[in-house]
Amino acid sequence: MDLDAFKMVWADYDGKLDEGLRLNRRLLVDGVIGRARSALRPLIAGLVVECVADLLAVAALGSFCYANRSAPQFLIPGIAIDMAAIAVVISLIRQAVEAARIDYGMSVAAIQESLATLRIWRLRTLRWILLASPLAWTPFLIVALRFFGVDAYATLGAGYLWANVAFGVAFLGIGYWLAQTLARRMSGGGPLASIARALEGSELRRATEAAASLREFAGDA
Amino acid sequence: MTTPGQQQDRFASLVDEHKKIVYKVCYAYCAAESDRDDLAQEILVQLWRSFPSFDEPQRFSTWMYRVALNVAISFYRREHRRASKLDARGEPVLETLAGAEEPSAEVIMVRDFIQRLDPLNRALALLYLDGNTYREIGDVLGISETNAGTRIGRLKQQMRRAFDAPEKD
Repeated sequence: MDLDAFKMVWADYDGKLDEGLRLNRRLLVDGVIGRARSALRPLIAGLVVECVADLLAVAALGSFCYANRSAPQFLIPGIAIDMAAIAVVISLIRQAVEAARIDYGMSVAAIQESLATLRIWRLRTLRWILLASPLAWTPFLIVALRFFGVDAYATLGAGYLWANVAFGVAFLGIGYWLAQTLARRMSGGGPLASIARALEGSELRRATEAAASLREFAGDA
Repeated sequence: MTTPGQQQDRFASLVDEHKKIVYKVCYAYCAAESDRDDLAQEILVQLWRSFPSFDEPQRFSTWMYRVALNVAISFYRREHRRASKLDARGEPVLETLAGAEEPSAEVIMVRDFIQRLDPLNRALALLYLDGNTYREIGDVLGISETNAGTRIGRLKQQMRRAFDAPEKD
């Protein structure tokens, strides 16, 4: 049997569906249309909320840096955290713009490419957040305490702060190793497996490969 | 100027007229019945959300194929399906009337063949089997007419290999 023979079988089947298929109009109107109205693009809404929260953090950190411009021991950690927050805001804006552009009525190649780009951005951002968090902990602690008028260097001591930096580096190394192990062993879903795959990078690799195969499909064969 | 009620009626009529597209796309992308109903509902939700952007001169079936295939491919690729369902009673939005849907062995064979393909080639095969021209296929998928033709040719070869190979052994 070949594809054209299948086409005839399919046409016959199509004719039977004309008589045998019924649309549940009540469910369409009450359920589908009702739900579509109530859930107004939750992804974009979520991104906007995240973005506003991060912008507030960027502004607060900017103000912190200005207030501590003559104290480099506070200014440097402040700038580091502020730069990280700015990077997250840029990524969120990029994702929100990409998500807002998605119109499912556009061609499959165009929409799937937008979705693939969005997914790559989300995974890349998540991976960098996961990788940077253990290292950002110490500067965050210095900045947070300073906000409340506490000098972390004087109160906790330089030794304690260096120990935190060392712990952050060790935590990152162990976390990465654990993520690699979990990603290999846990093939199914679940938040832990997802985080492990995001940190270790396999999720991002898969998304990049999917985007490449899409480009290959859309390009002239 | 149409009222929301009129727009809703028009949408329901157009969907009813072309419901076979949703049904066939769901069969192409989901093996399990519960997944098919979830997918049908997701497609209908997205169709309604995108309905205001539906351009009149465009054929409704072409637009519907685009939305349905985009949702189905995303649904297929998503690792964790959304837990919430529209109807807790499990009532299907597309129903086959009693005794009407007894697919023949050949139809089951076609469905099996489609389900073995990757998501993009499934869309290609489905559009071809539904009698669309290369131009229409290219229009829905966003590829050139030549590309659509070349890929259908490859699909035919693939199919020949898949069905001839066991007989030669």
